[in-house]
Amino acid sequence: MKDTKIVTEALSLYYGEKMALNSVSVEIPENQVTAFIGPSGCGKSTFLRTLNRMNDLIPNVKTSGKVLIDGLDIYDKKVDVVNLRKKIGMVFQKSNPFAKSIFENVAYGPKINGINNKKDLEEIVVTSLQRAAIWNEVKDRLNHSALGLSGGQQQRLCIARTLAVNPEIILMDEPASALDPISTAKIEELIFELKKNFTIVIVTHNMQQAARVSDLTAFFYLGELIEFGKTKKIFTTPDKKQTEDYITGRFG
Amino acid sequence: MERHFEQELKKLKKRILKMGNLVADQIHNTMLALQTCDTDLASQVISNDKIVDKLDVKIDKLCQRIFALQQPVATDLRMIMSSLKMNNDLERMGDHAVGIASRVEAISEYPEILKELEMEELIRMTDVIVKDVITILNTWNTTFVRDIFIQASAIESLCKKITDNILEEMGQKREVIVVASALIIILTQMERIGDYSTNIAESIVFIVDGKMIKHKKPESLFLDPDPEE
Amino acid sequence: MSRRRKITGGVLVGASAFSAIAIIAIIVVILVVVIIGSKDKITWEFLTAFPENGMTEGGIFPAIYGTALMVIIMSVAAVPFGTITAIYLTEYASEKSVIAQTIRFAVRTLATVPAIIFGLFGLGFFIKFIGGEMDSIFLGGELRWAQPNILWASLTMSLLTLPVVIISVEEAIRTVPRELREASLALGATKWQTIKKIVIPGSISGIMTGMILAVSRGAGEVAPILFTGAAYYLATLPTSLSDQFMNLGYHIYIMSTQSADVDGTMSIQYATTLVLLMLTFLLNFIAVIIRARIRRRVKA
Repeated sequence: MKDTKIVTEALSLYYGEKMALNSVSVEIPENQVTAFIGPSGCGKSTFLRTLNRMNDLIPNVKTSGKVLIDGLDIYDKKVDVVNLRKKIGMVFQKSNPFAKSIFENVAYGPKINGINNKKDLEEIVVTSLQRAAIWNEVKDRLNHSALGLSGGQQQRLCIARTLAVNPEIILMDEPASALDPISTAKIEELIFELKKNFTIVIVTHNMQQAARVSDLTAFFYLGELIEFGKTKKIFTTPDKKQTEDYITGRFG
Repeated sequence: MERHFEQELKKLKKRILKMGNLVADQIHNTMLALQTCDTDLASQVISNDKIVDKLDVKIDKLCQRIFALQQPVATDLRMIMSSLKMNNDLERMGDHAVGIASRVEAISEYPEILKELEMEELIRMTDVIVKDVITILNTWNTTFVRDIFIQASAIESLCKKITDNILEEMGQKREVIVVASALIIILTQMERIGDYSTNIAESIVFIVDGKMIKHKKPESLFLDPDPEE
Repeated sequence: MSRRRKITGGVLVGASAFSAIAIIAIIVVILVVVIIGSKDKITWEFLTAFPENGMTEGGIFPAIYGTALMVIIMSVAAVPFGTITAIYLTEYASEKSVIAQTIRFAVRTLATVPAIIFGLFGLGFFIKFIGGEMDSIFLGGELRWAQPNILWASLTMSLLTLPVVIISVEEAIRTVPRELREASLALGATKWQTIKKIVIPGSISGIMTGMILAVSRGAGEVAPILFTGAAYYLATLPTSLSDQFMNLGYHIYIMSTQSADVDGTMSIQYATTLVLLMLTFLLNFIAVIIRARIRRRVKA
């Protein structure tokens, strides 16, 4: 078993009066892909967004419990959210490149972190694009707008942009839900490659995707963590009937 | 994901081939033990069956994992379905090897019977059919599948003939009854080994060509085009 | 399709076609009347010369110059202020906070206040209060700022156009997708970095449009500058912020009401109107081009 990277302890979250997460406790290991599955509105995306405090942006959110990353509580008052987010990259459901050139998209994060040396920036951009397996497709048009890329390329560019900040953890919120099967396969293969260097947490409502890419799977339902374990186990012999019903499509 | 999936498929192919070679060795040793009435070799076969069983479970689990996690389709689906079946067939062949090996001792009481009943030819044929089917498994070349069917049917008819002879002899010589009944069981098992060999050949055809050829007469299979297609 | 639906559909198509044609017709009629009325008055000289002979002859250069100068000062005041307000409203203030709602209410109200009230406010606030204070503090009571000038007129005009700027910038900022902000924040950008590098560049076309709309509104308005800085006639161009200035709209107004020879200068009035119209059209046209350009750059 690998070292634990993220731990949540009795993590609950409310949107106003509405409970979105109910006392979720998980341990997410380092350099593995952990997938969160469950029906829409089960709290899996909310959970993901607690890990980099993205929920802070939404008014009236109350969080209780703990989220420990490398043993440190990220909801501690002393934690600098901006620095935290540098450590935890995020890839969103809809590919969201900035209306800038491909180069500028990837260089955005490093520039914000104060890297202004042209040579250093170039190196980071090239490495990030290579790691995101999109270099060959864009190397001749780094100065073109990122918005001219296809959906799948845009999403890989967004992954490259995330990698450029050199995070330790990458959160992915349904990263392939808007893509065609070929692009999806590329993203999945990329995830598989990336886990060698990053801890990846992915939310998906595509169970097959969770099965294909993840080492561990957590099943969420109505804000509760129903079952968490090795993907192999969850998809062959789940312990809970609710999990079984969901993955076999007999839900509700 | 393709690459990861490919790795899993490769692993499966490797394991199936390993299983095939293991079972072929088991059968080869059994045939050798039977021919020479070598009870030591026979008991070695029996104890080696544990390895076959272990690998059988391992392949089953791998197939289950691939089915559950990778949702295989087309060639990949046929490959994994067939692997499950071939694994099962090979495991049964291994069991039959054990079944034969455990009766070597009974035969060794009256080894002349083998010669009297033309058993040597049958032993050779059984050894060969298994070797040939493993070669097909190794190369995935379906050209020689037809030979397997021909060999299997030759084994079947030879078994029938020897069984008839045994029954005839048993009527005359009461003293051979123990050996003879052991031999009848051995013959059945050898016939089964031939059958499983054809099953494996069918599975490979299914993987490679996507055709289901089981329950069809081998003659019609290879000479005439399938009327359904 | 039923007969009745066909008829209803036909009536609707006819009505909307009529409205569209009516709108175009109105514009065409105005233009034709103005162009015919201005005869051959529009010459290079008319545009670049000073009025002569009690403004019955000569050009309108001081009015063009004054309008342009006022519009520039107005923009310098209104655009940054309006943009900052819009950023505060969209990015910082929570939707339901009392302050934000108050500001929004104030902006909406400001937009409905008649232009002449702005003029009176400018007179009272800028000239009498601020200008008076400035004079007594810095100049020891010497009269300089406590009288109408181009600065007070421009600032008064900027108040009038502020709601236009705020509302259009706010709308432009709202069109920047939430996902882009989140992407920026997720990369470890601060809120201000996100606004500076993502939100403002992303809404620049909206900001430009707001600015140009404000400018074309400001260029055409007369009431706010009546008491705050516009002059009937000046022999020289304004050289300081404390100078008065001539203005196209005001020029049309005085030429048609208080001129020595209203009927005799009809063609000057038409020509001035044409210049003002063209100026407004030109500004709108530039706005369209800038937006198209930015949109193309974003898409390319």
